[in-house]
Amino acid sequence: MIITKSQLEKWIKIPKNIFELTNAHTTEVESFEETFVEASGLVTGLVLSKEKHPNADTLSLTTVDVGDGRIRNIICGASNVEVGQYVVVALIGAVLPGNFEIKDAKIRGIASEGMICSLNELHIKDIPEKYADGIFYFPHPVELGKNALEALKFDGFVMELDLTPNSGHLLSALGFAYDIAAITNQKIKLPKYEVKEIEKVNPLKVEILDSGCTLYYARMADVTIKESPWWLQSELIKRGITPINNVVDISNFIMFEYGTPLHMFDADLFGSNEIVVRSAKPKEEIITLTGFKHELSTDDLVITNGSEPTAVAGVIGLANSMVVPETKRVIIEAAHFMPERIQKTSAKIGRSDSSLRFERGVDQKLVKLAMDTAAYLLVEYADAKIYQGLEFAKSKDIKPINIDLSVSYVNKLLGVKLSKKTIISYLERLDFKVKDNDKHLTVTVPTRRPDIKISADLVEEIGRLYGYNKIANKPILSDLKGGKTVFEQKVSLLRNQLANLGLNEVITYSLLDLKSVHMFNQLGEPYQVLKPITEDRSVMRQSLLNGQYNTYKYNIARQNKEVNIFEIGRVYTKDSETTFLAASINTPVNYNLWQNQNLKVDFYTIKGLLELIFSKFGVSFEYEASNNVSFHPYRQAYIKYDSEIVGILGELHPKLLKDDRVYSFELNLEKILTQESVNNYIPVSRYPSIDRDIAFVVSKSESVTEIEQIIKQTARKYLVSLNLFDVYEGENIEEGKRSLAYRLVFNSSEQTLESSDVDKVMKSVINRLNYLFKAEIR
Amino acid sequence: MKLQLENLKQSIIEAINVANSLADLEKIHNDYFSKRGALSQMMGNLRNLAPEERPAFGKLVNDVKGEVQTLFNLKKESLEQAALNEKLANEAIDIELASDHFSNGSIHPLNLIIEDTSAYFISNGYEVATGPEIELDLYNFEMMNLAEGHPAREMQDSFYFDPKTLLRTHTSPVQARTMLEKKGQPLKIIAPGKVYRRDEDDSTHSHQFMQIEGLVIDKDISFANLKHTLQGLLDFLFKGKVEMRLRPSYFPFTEPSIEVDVLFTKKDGSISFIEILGAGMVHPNVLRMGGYDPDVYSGFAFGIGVERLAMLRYQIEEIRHFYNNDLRFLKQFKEEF
Repeated sequence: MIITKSQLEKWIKIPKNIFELTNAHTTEVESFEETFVEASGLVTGLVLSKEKHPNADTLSLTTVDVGDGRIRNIICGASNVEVGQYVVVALIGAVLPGNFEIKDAKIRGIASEGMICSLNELHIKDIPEKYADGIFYFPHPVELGKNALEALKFDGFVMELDLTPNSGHLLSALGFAYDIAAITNQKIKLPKYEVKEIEKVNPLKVEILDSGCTLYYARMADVTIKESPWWLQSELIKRGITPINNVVDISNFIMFEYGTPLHMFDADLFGSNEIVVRSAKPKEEIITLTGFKHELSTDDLVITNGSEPTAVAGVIGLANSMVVPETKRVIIEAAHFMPERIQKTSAKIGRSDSSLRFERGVDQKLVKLAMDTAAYLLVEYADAKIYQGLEFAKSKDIKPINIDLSVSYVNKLLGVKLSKKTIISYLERLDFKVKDNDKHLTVTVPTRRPDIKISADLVEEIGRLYGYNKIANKPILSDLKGGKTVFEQKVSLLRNQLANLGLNEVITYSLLDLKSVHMFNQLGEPYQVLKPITEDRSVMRQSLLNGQYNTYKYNIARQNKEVNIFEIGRVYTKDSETTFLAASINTPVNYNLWQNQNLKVDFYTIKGLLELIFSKFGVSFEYEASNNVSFHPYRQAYIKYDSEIVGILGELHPKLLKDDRVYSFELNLEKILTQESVNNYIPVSRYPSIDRDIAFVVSKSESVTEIEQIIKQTARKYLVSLNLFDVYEGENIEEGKRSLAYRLVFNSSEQTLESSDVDKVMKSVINRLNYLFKAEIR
Repeated sequence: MKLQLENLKQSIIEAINVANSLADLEKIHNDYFSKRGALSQMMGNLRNLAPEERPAFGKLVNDVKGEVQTLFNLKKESLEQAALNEKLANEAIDIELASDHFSNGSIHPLNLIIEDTSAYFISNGYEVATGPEIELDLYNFEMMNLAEGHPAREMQDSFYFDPKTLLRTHTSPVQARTMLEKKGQPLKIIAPGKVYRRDEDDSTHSHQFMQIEGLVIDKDISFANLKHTLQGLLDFLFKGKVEMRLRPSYFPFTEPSIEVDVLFTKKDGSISFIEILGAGMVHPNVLRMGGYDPDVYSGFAFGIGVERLAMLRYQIEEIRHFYNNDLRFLKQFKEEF
């Protein structure tokens, strides 16, 4: 909503700090311009003569009187410049919007002492057709040599309010004036217009068949369609509305003035003297005055001539009865429609300035004033002859509501100590009637404030008038304990660990395209949103690896060659939403290029990373061969926790990559991180350890996991560590077999182990390996 | 004999003096100090002396032996030191060559802010609550006082899966869920998380973004408490005393509602008020639906856009940076103190 100084000052004395006051007490000011057009050196002038430029066909030499006794010679390129026009002259030294300075200049050999301006040169966007090509000239005489911005009424501030859906009452100059009046303790006086009627009787009959229309006034008048007076055009231009003609402009002006939309029909095109407001018929077709065809339903309200629609009530007029340049007679509609009804129609066929106001609630009380003002302005500026009699129909009175409010509630909710008197005074400033019932106040809310429904709404009104910024801060007295769930604490720890290990956390979109949703994992049927913005973002992800892979590609394409990343986020199906962790690496997090050290990562790097970060929670995994098509067929494994598959680990399929290897894992965190993890202290041994190495040849088909389990089982309690330190196959080893070498460390916390005891254990280890796996000791 | 001993001593001293390697010393040891060495032989010569002369001469030999042994040891030590020095000199390195590379990992800037803010609120007695991103219309809208057809629903164009289910458009449904869970007991929570709106992605809009919701309900919670809380939060977020400006606003789930601006200094030095969050006193309808009697309990709620906060704090010009995950972007963000 745009508020102009020129319109506001008719209602109230404007406070100096209007911008700050509005922000602090009414609503957000989206923008505030000190003047609508920012320019200097512009004066009003009169074109005295015009000749063709001797050296240029399209240029004219003019003389212009700018009121200072010195006639200026000005060269003008516009074809519409004529003698007798009152124009806007930019003198030498003037600065136009865009910091364009007018300089002494010779154009094709002849000096020009300034410029006659077009509206375009003043950076006006909504230019009436008449001035669209060429210079602007006033439609009436103006005093010469005066500040042209003043004459154009383009001086004075213009501010735009950012309005929330509840602030229908601020959709007019009057509504905003009411609010500023309340803040600055002023009173608004509504005007009264005497409507001069002619003898001819208003032949219109109005009938309301649907209570979605509560009130309908109709007048008829003969009019002369012409250009509006400049003050009116200027008022519309400042609001971003292009002036059309006097009748249409007056109707728009009144809407911005009171927030009451009007509609003007061409009475001769209307088709009858009968106005019937009814709900639309199923599939009733209409063509709006902007030329769009719509199909209506019984939810929609239409204005008809008794047989066919002539307007979609409160939203837009129809082409069949619109005011045109040839119009001689008009029907003026001033009506009130119920917000819910207009909201539905507007959502369907598109919002207009009119429907916006009806949706948010128009004050039924102002409708008559709007009609009177329209009649008055039409007489003044459209030579209107108003027919005798104001025809109307009413289906419902909108009555003010009463709300009970206690002083203690106000003070408790705001955390202040306002007296009853102060509270009453704030409410009365807003034109709310207050009755003091001792126990509580009964507040009558004027019909222009349909947003006020309950006592908390009144507290807001009191709070904002008092000033939120004035309310003193108070700490909360409460002994509630703060904290995070165990799961969230563990997630944070994982995040910090991975970052400390040199990986970078990413956050990727939850919505994917349908084609790739099952590329890395399949949790269930794809879960699609009904109306995606793009197909790329239409299905909920079922794996974080899509995001990992896309992030990898994004970075590689930008020559970020080290892509070590992770994400903790949710994956989704119709019935589930689960937190997963994924990580991917293509480069060691620690290396030395010139010493040629640690230059590669592989399957065992990502596996080690996985095991390291979860060892902090006492979690260990098992692995099982897997067959995910997006992983290297021979370098991947399921991650198993507690005998259940919880994720996958491996090298991404080389077909997905270009001359690079990426190793990833992904797993479900929910089960793993909800387990309690506690420390089980074991006293540190005071006795020395004994190391033993063992190497043996076994078939490659024997599982290392099983071999290690058997060693651990056999060596039992004194074995404190078991480490694989060599794997060898090739020369000297039979085809299909490999040599494995382990270091076993034995220790007891109770005694010094004897070499002979350990030898015994080693012997049984060897025997079992030999028996179970046909292991040949080397 | 004495002369012989004196000569021997002189030749040993001479030999030690000229020795310039451990091998030379080894030879000296063999020649003079070993069992068959000259000094031992000199001891053997005792037999040729008269018994009464033997103790004096024995002592003499031992004195000489002690004297040259000391010299020998000193020499040995000095040669060993030289040998070690030579070995270490051969191990000299160029200390200016590049170090081993240890990759610098990073936490996503949005999660940095969430973790940071959570820690602040936890220390102030708030629990961190979560809720589903695929949410019921009931929690996302209805229980937030946005019944079907409410004009404010259009403020938040949504991704629906079916008429009852959608991607949450704000973290506010966690308010409703927590209220039901707490069964009328006082509560203080924050709820960070992802939210979704049907906005076209551009430099300031993202169809997916993050919010931090806050909700406090107790007897006697007032607007003054809300202000105190917000001032504390903003001072924390912007690392210092922040000038805050409140503006009347509208959210269906709070009444009164406000928007909060902070006086903010940009990199270019310009200072202006910038909108940072929305807040208000919990609407009586929301309290009632959540199982709290609005005549007994009151509360406040607030919501902050995490991207917006990060963009302000780090002066980031483009919201899509957060989701493109360019490593050159991500690696810039660390914990701030």
